[in-house]
Amino acid sequence: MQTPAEFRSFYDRELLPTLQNLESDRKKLVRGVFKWALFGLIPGLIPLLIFGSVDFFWIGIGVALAIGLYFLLNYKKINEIKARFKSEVIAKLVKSIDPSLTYNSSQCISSNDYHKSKLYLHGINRYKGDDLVTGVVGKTSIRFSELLTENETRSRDSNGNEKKSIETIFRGLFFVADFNKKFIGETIVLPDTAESLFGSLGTMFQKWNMSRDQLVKMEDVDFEKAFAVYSNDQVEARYILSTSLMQRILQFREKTRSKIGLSFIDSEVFIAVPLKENLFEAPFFSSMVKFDMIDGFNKYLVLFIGIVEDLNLNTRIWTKE
Amino acid sequence: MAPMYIAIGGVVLLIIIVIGIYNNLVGARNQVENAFGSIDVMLKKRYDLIPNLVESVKAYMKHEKDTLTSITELRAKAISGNLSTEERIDVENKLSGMMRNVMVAVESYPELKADSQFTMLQRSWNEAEEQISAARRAYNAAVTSYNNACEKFPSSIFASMFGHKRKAVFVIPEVERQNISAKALFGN
Repeated sequence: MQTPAEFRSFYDRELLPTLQNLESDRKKLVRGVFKWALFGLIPGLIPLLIFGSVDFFWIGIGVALAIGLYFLLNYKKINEIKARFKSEVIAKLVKSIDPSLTYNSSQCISSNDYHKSKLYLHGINRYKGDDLVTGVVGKTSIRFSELLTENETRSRDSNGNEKKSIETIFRGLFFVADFNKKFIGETIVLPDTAESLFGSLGTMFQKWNMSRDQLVKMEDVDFEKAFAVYSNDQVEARYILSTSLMQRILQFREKTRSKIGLSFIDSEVFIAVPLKENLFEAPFFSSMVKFDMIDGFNKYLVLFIGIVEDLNLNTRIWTKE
Repeated sequence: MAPMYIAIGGVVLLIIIVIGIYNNLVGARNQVENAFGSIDVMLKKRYDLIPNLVESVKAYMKHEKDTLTSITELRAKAISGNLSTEERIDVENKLSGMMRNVMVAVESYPELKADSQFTMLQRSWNEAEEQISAARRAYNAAVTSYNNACEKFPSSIFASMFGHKRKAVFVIPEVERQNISAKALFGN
């Protein structure tokens, strides 16, 4: 892993020239926006010359139209900059962490993986994502991407008007890896809200959770506070969640500062990390040459590629190769 | 009339609560037995591995011949089925300890370490060990929830009435606790 100083020098050497290049293109496009906005003032200024009074309505319309037209005409160029940011900066970041990994900016974790994980049982009808990273770290194959799943519902109010509402089910990074132990059952580790809020009463609610398998009480107190474990096999759940893995999961959760969920199904581990921000995107109205932004993206990549180490997935001392 | 209905209602409610508590106690006790059974299943899996493991290391490990013989003997004793629980635990612990020594001794036999059949057996062994530990943890969790039911009010009253007694959790011997660090054996 790179030290902060090593990353800084990598940034200066490999990324800065690209970023500066992209930045000058971005600035040109942004300047265009302002130029067109000025043109947009013209129809509003005509009445000023004729009648001596400003018509704000026409100024607003003119500017909005001009800017809209500008974006329409330059849509391709803007997207090109954003795409270049991904292919030239983000891809390089991924390669710098592990050269064997592949980055694909437009693909994402398959909906098959998402549903198979059983982490989110809520129905969805919108599924999208990007920034897929795939590859093999040591002996463990991994894949992760950004994901956004939503449920759109339409209803009619009392006046008969159709109302559309969109509920976000998951937004964040979704990670799948080959697990180092063989197992046949299903074990799901969900963030615990009931127990941390209501104590033992919460445990009772967890037991009554009809949509899940049996509740598995783990002996690690901190782990129990943070998570609720459901499984169809009490022994296998403990075989998967060894005492050391529980500690490792807790440490990983600390690092993400997010309410993570994990599931162990079909000899794979699925990890969902809800995040608020949209990662790995190039800014348009602010500068691209920002070390902190790139450093932030890099930290997320390191964190996710590091899951293999964090959860000790390369230790293959059991029958699974 | 009304007070009578209230009284009947009260009695019915009480009966339902008692049935609920009783069933909960029985359920918890059965879970303990079930969990105990699963330890047995895992232990049996480990016994099955021993003859193959002994066979594959015998040719290489000339110096450990005595150890291997006593491992075979202990296994025979363990599966004979006429041991008390204490004796069985004792035999189990001895067996685990000896196998651990064998696994450590493997380090000084490079040809053995390179033997693919042996490495597979070794992996199976680690798996069995980890599964036994998981089964024991499951047993302890079942015992804890049973003991809670026996001792927490109000079910404690009925527990003593129906003859439910507190059960002891599995105490894992000190040597066994170290054994999970199988990683150390293989230098990761």
